[in-house]
Amino acid sequence: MRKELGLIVMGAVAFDLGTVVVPAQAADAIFLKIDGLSGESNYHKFNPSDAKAANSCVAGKGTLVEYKGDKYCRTDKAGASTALPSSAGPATALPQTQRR
Amino acid sequence: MSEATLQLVAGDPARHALVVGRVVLVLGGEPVTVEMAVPPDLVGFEDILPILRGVTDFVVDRGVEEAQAAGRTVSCRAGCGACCRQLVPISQAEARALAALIAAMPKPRRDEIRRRFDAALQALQACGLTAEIDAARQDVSESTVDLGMRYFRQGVACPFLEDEACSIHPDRPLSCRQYLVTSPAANCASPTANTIEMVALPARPSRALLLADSEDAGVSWMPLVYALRYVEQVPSRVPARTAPDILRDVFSRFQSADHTDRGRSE
Ligand code: SF4
Repeated sequence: MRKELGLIVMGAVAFDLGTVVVPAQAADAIFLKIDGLSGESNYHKFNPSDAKAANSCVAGKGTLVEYKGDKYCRTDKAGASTALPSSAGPATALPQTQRR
Repeated sequence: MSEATLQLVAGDPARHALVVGRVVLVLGGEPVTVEMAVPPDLVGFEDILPILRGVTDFVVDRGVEEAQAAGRTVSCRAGCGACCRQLVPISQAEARALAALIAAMPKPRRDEIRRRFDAALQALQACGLTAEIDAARQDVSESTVDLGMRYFRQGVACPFLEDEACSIHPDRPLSCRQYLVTSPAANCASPTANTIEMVALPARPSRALLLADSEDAGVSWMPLVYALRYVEQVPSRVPARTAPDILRDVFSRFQSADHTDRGRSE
């Protein structure tokens, strides 16, 4: 896949797409190939001794996730857990392409 | 980490004079210059896959380096194909690339792979999962995790899995490239969020491709085992965009904030 461009074409760069700054990723918590698809998961770290936060997560249909010793409430749909900040919206969810 | 340059080629320089372009990706604060040679004419998303494969491999290498620096070791090995029984989401462009790959195989092998695709589809139909998958493809706001687990429990192996190894390794989908774990391989037989430790990647190219390609083609993601059926139903699309235009679209999706620590509070 990686070939030397120099062997093929050279000359002026025909297109320059500029700079893309990629934000930090939270891929760690993904555990299925399809889990990386929807981008709908939110992770809210909470204090393990805060039983109220844990209960609130489960009651809101979140999943308790432990990662590297920290506890997170994962929700797969925006707003599904009351433990999440209300600003977590599906702004960049996959497009509902069938409606196009 | 030193500044890196990645040089990638999509297209056959013997067929046309490729045009050269560039993008700088800032991954984990480190700039990486990607120089790309691509066809000058209108193309499909499948035609720029070699670029995205190269970027994905680079991103994965970075993730592995960081995992190793943190004292973690990747457990994935040839001969361990547990994750190849998972639902592998691909874009229509990847479906086309896989169909073309199969079409180019010698006949006995091509027939065997096609037979496995048919068998996998039948197995999914028999357990009622195709209806669920189709519903999930229509409503991508729903969680796919439960579906993914039910799919996994059916034990439907990827048609390309042979001797528990990927038989199309250089051409495997982006989501397969990105899936590496540092948790014990045995845990992959019954994955849970608490027992699987993924290699954290500085970007998710598979998702960028899915977003851009889905929107462009009006076709949602599909499980890998749908690939041949989909291409039979929609044998071709008229290329309508240039490679630089498509690449601009895909790379802009790398900026999606979906996988940031949104929602995390310290
Ligand atoms: S394409 Fe290869 S890596 Fe991906 S699921 Fe199939 S066998 Fe596994």
